[in-house]
Parts: sequence; C-alpha cells; structure tokens
Amino acid sequence: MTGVENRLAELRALRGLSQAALADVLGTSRQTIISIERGRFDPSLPLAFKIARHFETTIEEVFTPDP
Amino acid sequence: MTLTTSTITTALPKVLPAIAASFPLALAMGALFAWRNPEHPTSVAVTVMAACTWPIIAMGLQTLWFERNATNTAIESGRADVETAWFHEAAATAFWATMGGLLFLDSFGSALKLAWLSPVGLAHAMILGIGSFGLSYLWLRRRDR
Repeated sequence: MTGVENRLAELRALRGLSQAALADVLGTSRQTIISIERGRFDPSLPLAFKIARHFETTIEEVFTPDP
Repeated sequence: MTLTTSTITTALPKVLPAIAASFPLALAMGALFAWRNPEHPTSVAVTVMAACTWPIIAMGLQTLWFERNATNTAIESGRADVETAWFHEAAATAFWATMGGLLFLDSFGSALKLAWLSPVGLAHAMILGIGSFGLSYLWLRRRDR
C-alpha cells in the first residue's frame, strides 16, 4: 500500500467505465489503473489532475491520505 | 507473448534507428580491434568483430538511448505508467544486487580458491545485472496483478 487511499474504482463504476476504457481516455495503461485502484501505485501529479478533471471533481475528492 | 509476423512488423520500426546507428559503431569497434590485433587479417577481424558487437551495440543504444528518451518523454508528458515505475524500481534493485553480488562472489571465490568465481569479470556482472533486473521486474509485475 502507498499511504494514499483513492475512490477511483468507485468513480469509474459510477460512470460505467471499464478499466481499459478509462486507461485509453487518460492515455495510460490498464495496468496503471489496476495498480492505482489497488493502492499499489501513486499516480504522478499530472495523471492525478487528469483523473480529477475526467471525473469533474478535485484531486482531494479522489485521493486522500491514509488516516 | 507469441512472436508473430504482425509483432515483428509493429516492433521493427521502433528499433530501426538503433539498428542503423549501431552499424558504424560496430564497424568502428571492428577497425579498433583490427588495429590492436595486427596478427589477424584486417578484413576478417573487422567483419567478425563488427558482426559480434553489432547486436550488443544495437541493444545498448535501444535501451540506453532510444528507450530512455521514450521513457523521459512519457514522464514529462505526465504519462508515468506503473510499468515505468516497475522499470525504475527494478533498475535500482538490480544495481544494489549486482554490487553486493559481485562483492560476495569475489570474497567467496577467493576464500575457496575458485578460479571461475574470483576475480569476478564481465560475465558475472552481466549475469547478476540482467538476472536481478529481470527477476525484480517480473516480481513487481506479479505482485501488482
């Protein structure tokens, strides 16, 4: 675990997006989405911004530090 | 991954610059070898040395120059994939494993007077470096799946 929790899987499910479709939209790999959702990988800041923009929210709404 | 014709036709354009750039470098290596070893016929020395070093130089250029540029470009454009993170983590692990491994092999080999272990050489470094990098990368990939 990376010390940062995220709601990526939840937000993706709400939009009915597959991991591969989200990866295509964000210009990254499906494995990257899988690793972020499992908390194994912290995305770079530009990718975090892309994710937040895609879901029309803020980074803080998607990523929160572990308590 | 199965090596198919489509795989080759897709991958080939990506490695063509490295292949092209490695030719003159391999010929230069051949010329250098022929100059330092005048006992061999020049044309044979140049050809054999160039043929032997060409694939290594091509791989080296691809990995250290062309792929590295692609990786840096990907990071700069914000496309830092988890695969890139695995690559960097595996490279760091391989560096320390190779350093420690060489030290251990040399100490172990000299203590037991094993000539094939001590002094350590290029082959030991290559095996340790490539082996530890490959294993580390595969372990990281497996862990995250």
